[in-house]
Amino acid sequence: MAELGNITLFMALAVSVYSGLGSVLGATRSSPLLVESSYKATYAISLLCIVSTACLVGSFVTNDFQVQYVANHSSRAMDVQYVWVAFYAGNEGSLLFIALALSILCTIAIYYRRIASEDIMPYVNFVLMLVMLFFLAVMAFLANPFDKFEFTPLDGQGINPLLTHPGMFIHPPVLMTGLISFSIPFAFGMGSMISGRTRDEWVDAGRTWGLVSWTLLGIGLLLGSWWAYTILGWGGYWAWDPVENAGFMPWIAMTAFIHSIMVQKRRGMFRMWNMALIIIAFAFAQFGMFINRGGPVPSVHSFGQSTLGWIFLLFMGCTVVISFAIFFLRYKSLKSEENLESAVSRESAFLLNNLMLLAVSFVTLWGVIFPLISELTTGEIITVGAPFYNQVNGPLFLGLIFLMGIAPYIPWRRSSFGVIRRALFYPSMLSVVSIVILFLFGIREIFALISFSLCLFVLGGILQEWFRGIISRHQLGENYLVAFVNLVLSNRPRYGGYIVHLAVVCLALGVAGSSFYDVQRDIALSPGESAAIRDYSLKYISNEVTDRVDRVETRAVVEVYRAEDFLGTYTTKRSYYPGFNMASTRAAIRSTLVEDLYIIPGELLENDGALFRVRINPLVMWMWIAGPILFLGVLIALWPHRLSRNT
Amino acid sequence: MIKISLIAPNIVPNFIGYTILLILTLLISIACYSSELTESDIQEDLARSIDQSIMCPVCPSETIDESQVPIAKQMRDIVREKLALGETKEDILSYFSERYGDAILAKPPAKGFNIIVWIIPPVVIALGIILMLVVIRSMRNTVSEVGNETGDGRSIELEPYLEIVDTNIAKLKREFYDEFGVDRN
Repeated sequence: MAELGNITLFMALAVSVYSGLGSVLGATRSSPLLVESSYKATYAISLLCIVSTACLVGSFVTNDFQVQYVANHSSRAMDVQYVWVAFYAGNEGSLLFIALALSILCTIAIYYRRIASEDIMPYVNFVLMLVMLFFLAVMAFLANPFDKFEFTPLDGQGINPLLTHPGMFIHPPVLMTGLISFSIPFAFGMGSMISGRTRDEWVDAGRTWGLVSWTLLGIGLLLGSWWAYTILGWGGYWAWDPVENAGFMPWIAMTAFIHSIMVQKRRGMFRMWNMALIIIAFAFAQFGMFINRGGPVPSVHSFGQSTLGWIFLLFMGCTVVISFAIFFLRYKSLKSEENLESAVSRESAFLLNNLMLLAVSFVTLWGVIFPLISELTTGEIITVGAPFYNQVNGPLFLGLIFLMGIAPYIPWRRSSFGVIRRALFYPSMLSVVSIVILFLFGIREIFALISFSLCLFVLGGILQEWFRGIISRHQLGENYLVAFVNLVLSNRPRYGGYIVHLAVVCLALGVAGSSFYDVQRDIALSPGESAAIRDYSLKYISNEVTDRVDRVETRAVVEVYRAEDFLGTYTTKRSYYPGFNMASTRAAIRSTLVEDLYIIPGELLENDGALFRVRINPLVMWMWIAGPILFLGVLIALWPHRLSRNT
Repeated sequence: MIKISLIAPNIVPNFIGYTILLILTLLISIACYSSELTESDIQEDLARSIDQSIMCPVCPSETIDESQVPIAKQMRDIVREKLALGETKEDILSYFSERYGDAILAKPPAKGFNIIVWIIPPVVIALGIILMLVVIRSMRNTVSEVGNETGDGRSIELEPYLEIVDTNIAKLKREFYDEFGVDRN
């Protein structure tokens, strides 16, 4: 089976060369048949990748330990459902997964191409095939998942116990797909420049695919946080770890892109800027893959330790140099003839938004690479950790939230401060009132006050806008619900955008609440003993130790009270894997909209006593609520036009 | 400044909006409010803020506040002992950096070569702002030379409708181009 996988891998490699060359030759020699054939070749690559993937998964299922990758990432004791996780648990398999995701995305992008982008499409296909070729070639020659041992080991080394969790079925694939999907909007931008059709041919496709990859990566990051919070059991969800940053930077750059591409879509402006932005976003995504694959910085994720990272760095370097070379060749034709009419306008608000978002990416990048710079120049090893990012990025985030409350109400082209003042009178009054209320409740932390009132400011603005729209439709005879639905359908990019903004407000609430007002205590209890933390009280009941094949599980039972009210019995779990010398903890979490009580089990003490780390994390649940809202908003903004015509 | 006529019909739904906001404000307040903190609570919160600035020496990218390994526990105990002796946060941080080097601090101290890590971000952001202002200025200048100024600002109430008009025009244009294959350049 492994042979078949290897053969299809090399076939995919050959076909991608054909497809890339064919589409360019077909376009330059005006041979539509050749172009069509190279598109078909692209579809074929995804079939070949599917077969290759099936072969690797098949080797796992049949325990073919002669295949090195299988032997290194699974064992006979592994539950069969984790075969899928083991498939991308290592370097080689994850490359195959990325190739698979990219090939399917390419197929979708080419199959559903629009008439407007027909002329640039051969070049888009060419760029995509270059990316495809890179991954297939790396796999075929440097990190082949089908490499075999001379002999067949009796058993494999087993899967990393931290990965044996249902969350691992979703988080890594979504994140990897999100990162690689940046190739698609990038290819549309590059295709438009290479073909010389540098007007707005790529804008619709660029926006759609930009939003798709933004959502994939965003959901991937959020799932990662959720998994870290509910499973990893350290009580937090984000640590500014280099690998987290590596996923965060491209996402922020893409956030800038999906905003500024709207300016080109609506006004035909910012053509050069959008092109530069998509190149930057793609370069960040490549940087992310570089850090992820044995880059130079230590990380808790440290996935696929290998020297392959440097080839990814080279790939990134080449992409940046070549892309910007083409950019400067097309410099003249990229210039927009439309001009900014006023400094107070939606256009300039978008510029400011882009500036701040890029500043966040830059600060994050700077924090990731500065320890290297310091070590290379002074030989001194230093740490750039969470306090740095919070201190520098924090104010930028607040600025962005503030802008989010203003910019949607600044009209396109030109406006005046009077217009803005009138639109924002109620939201700003409300946020002042909220500051007073919050202050009276004893919230004195200045940044916390600012964060919360800004969140309410944005929310107030959005609600006011919706209610105004609903009321004016209601006066024309629609009932409130119909009015709301029609309002959203009347301009889906706009109202979908508002819904995404709502999700960002939820996210900001969760982050602000849990970073300013979290409480953490370490307590040691013997059975029957209680301890108080703020207004909660915990009573430790008992523990139970079970020996399993590969691990020792310790469960501890705790009763939780608040002001004499019994809130429930909670069980924490701690598993120790002697084979890996690793422990994984499953915290007991009592989640409410107001705050989470988070109980992390520690080691057992003498006489059946136990250590616990207890945390109170305010407002964290709002972060997880943000996920579905964000998804809904993007869905509304992206849903194809025809639907709204039918309704 | 505010036209009453525009606001009057909106009072009912705005009332719903205010209620939503008020509920949320109260929710935040309850979440972050804690009744009479005891002296030990305040001490512990202060100690934690110091823990969060010290990296765990044996585990990658974790502070001693997050880490559960024994050495992190010992270091947390040292922080509390020193606080009880009346030492300040700075004293405690320099105590640890003397023993373990600056790498033990979660954020690099703003001295020597490492001061760059703090200087570069604000400088780059300031340059970005200047660049943006220059761009806005130059883009506006070209407009006044051409002189295609259009009347006064569009009012915020009309904005949603004008946007629909704009998108429809753009859509019609695109359909026209697609149908007749006119090169848009």
